[in-house]
Amino acid sequence: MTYTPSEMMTVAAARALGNRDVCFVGIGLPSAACNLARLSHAPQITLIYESGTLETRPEVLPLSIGDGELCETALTTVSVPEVFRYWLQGGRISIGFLGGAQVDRFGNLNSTVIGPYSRPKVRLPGSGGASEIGTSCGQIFIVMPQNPRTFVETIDFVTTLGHGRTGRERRALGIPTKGPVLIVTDLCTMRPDPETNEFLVASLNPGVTRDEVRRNTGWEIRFAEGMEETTTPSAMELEILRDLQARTARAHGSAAAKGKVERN
Amino acid sequence: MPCALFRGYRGTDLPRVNPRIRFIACPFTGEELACIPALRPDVAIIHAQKADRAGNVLLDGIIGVQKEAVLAARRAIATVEEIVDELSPGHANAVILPGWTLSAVAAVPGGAHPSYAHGYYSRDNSFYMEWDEISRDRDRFLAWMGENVLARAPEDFAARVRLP
Repeated sequence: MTYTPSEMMTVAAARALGNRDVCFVGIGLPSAACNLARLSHAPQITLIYESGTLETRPEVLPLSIGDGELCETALTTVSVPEVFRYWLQGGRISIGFLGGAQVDRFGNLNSTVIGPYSRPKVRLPGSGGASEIGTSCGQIFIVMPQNPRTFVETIDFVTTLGHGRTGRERRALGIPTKGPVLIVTDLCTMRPDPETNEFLVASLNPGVTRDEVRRNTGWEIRFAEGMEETTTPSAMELEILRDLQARTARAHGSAAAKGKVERN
Repeated sequence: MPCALFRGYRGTDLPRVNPRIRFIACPFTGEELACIPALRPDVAIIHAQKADRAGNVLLDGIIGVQKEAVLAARRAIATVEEIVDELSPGHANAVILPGWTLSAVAAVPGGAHPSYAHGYYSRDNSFYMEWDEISRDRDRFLAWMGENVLARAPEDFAARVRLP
């Protein structure tokens, strides 16, 4: 069965999740991956959105965290102060699943601004809960399409702390949670070096070359010893993902299916 | 309380550009925590499902920070889908703002449009799509405001949604 690089990315991201995970879900690609996991191999996964919807099981992907669908299919819905104080800061969330506009080799994320903060080239939606999610969840998964504009040597603004500008700041601050442990892209998956926290390519997606990854990375990307090939999406995974996206398109209009208005 | 506490913000650029994000040490554990000052709005305006004739307001669905916004503000206004004789919340822990926390309550059916009111009508998604384009162009924005907001009144909202 043929598939797009974007479908490979969503499937690979979904596979990183399991039944026992309690996952704080960002809108857009993370939301597609988390719901694909729930609808395929991880039906017991707990999904929580920033709007306070606990154990939500949406039929269609939400346009925003405030979608009524998230509330109607949730076990219960709590207020925003409660979801942050008791559930996120309380250490109840095992995985935060985030995206952003830029990421660097240490998994620091920018969702605030492209260009200087005082004279932005593009003003982005901002942190929302991302800064707090990055520190309070047990670990962080990142999913983002990979190109030289998104995977950069120096991000313009640190919205969400990964391992820090030199890979050491997170540890030095004494933050007890793991931070970013996985980046999934449309070309490969990356995991951090246990010593330096620099993200290395752990698996190449089928048909993708090392050169292609190098050309699409703003820093001198390195490849892990024992690098593997990402397993291709199964027919079942693709079918479930396409059904989910078709349902979403019908519910929101075609622009939503392309992710045009999805944001944090 | 004068501030709220967070564990995030450390190691990010946000405190560098926002002087209202500051840091304190926990007096019990020594942990460094970020804090931000309380927001005390002059006025909060919310839209809810229903009110009774005493002005008590029932909220249902994704409640976000609506209760907090009303209680933090010096004065608050609630618009509601309907005014009823009995709120009939159904259970003891329903989210209700007592009438004495509100300065004014007004019935504006459809008042959440183009968003939704949980239990009443769904969101106008195509409007949201169109708004992305309208809001990028100053002339289109002004024309839209004139036609849909400045020349309209609260009673026009009901016609914009499909009420039950």
